Amino acid sequence: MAAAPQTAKGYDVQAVRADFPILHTQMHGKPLVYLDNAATTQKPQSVIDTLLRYYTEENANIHRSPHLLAEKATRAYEGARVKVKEFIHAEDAHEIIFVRNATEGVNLVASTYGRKNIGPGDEILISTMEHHCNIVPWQMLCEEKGAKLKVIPINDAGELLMDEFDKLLTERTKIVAVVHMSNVLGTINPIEEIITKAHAQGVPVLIDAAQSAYHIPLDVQALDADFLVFSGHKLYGPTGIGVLYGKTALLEAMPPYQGGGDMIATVTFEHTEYNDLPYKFEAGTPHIAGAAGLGAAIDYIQSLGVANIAAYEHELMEYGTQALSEIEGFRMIGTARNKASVYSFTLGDIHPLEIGTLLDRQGIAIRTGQHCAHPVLQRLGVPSTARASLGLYNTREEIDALVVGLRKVQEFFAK
Amino acid sequence: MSGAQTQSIASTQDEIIDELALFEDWTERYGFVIELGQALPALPEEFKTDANKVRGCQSQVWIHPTLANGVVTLQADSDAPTVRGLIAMLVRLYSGHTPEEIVAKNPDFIERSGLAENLSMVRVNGMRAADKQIKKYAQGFIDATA
Repeated sequence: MAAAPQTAKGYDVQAVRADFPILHTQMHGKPLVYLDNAATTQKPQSVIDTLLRYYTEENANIHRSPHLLAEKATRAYEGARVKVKEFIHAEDAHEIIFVRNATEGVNLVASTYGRKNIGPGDEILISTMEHHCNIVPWQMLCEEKGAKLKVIPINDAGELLMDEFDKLLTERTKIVAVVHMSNVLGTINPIEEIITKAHAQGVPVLIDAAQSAYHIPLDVQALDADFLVFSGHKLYGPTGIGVLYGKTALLEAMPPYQGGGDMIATVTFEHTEYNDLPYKFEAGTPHIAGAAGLGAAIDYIQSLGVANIAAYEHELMEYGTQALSEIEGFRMIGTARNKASVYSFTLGDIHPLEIGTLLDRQGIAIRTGQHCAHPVLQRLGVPSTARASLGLYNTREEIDALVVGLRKVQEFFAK
Repeated sequence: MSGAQTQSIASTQDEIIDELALFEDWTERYGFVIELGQALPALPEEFKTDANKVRGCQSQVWIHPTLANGVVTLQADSDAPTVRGLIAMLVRLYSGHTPEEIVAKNPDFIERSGLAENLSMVRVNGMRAADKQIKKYAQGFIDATA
């Protein structure tokens, strides 16, 4: 599952860039160099066209009305579900639950599976490098149920200490929830090993694939993941749509999340029969356009080939790591052997906020701060970092522009 | 600082806007804000407490208020140079004024000076959070002496 297949030959990045209108705009009068993909990715024309087409030609509510428009909308929505199913190699489309984002996916599992199966004295195992969305819902559950949150530690390079994981995984552990790829460090975690070990103890595993879904081929059946979440907007799709994958047996045994709309079969004031999967978890009118857009994004990624994208991004990342490390005072935060597409860094004693601001004036978009993952930065002893993160349309020239940009930042503060 | 104690918050604000208007070039203005930050006396470590911290994701900001002879003195610090400069402006605006004056005045120099367009929303929101915290301190002084 490493992000380094053999070669990215034949990957035409200029042709890819032509598909993304925003990449040809300017910021502060400079060509946009977009290196904030870990926050959100830009959208190809086909995704934008799908959203436009949905609202222009297909807009209706789904699953109920007998007219042709409703049929078109339903096809757009359910068609997207099948695309997601194929994208992550789920066994059945009803294992794909549309949610707003990865965060809602984790909250759904914590609120339903968690509330039902976790009690006083039980333990939930997460890692030091979790994003807040895979910390807080579990913390809330622990408070409610009197359970304990246990955290897998990391080394200074930003890799999980698997020996410690082995010790933390006990008969008290009721669920393991780990990030596939860290948004701060780029570390790719050994989720196969984690899942195998957890399953040996009968413990289910939730994978947060928010960062990995657009960099690494996913196969939930090969991984034997019990739950997996990701967001559409990081996958070159729209905001407000995300996916929770769950194994059929687990989802069927879980109580519903929210009440209303499509999640019911029959309702009387005395009793409600819940609908089948996946509708049991999709209360109310869903983000139909968003799902259609996510389907288009998946089509787009599949047309390039996830393995091709991963190979191209890996070469680009290696190039950038080399180029950036030649800058005096550059310090990479997160140097895992297995990492992808993220450069979290500090530059001498220049505050990351000022780095981000001065790069912005040069048209270069990066993120700065704590990346909604406070504990991992506390662990590594840095208050905040600057973070440049790659997507499938970035180029070596853009990395070069970042290097030049950072040197200018240094010059400004050397005055 | 002696002038600031005799003039109103409103006129200090106009003064700040006039100073910022001298810089047409963004880089110069940015450099000026950083210089203001450099001129701000460092906050002693003992005051860099959680209670004095303004919540925010991008940089750390601490504001320490004291009340003597009916007027508030603010000491403040940040680990980010531009944020330090902006905080210095707030310190200059409010120090030497009564809690009542502070609570009554909503500064709009960020908008009027064009700084809002120069700075990211993140920082403008940070400034607002700092202003809110100063008002909270002032209200606390009013409540304590009521």
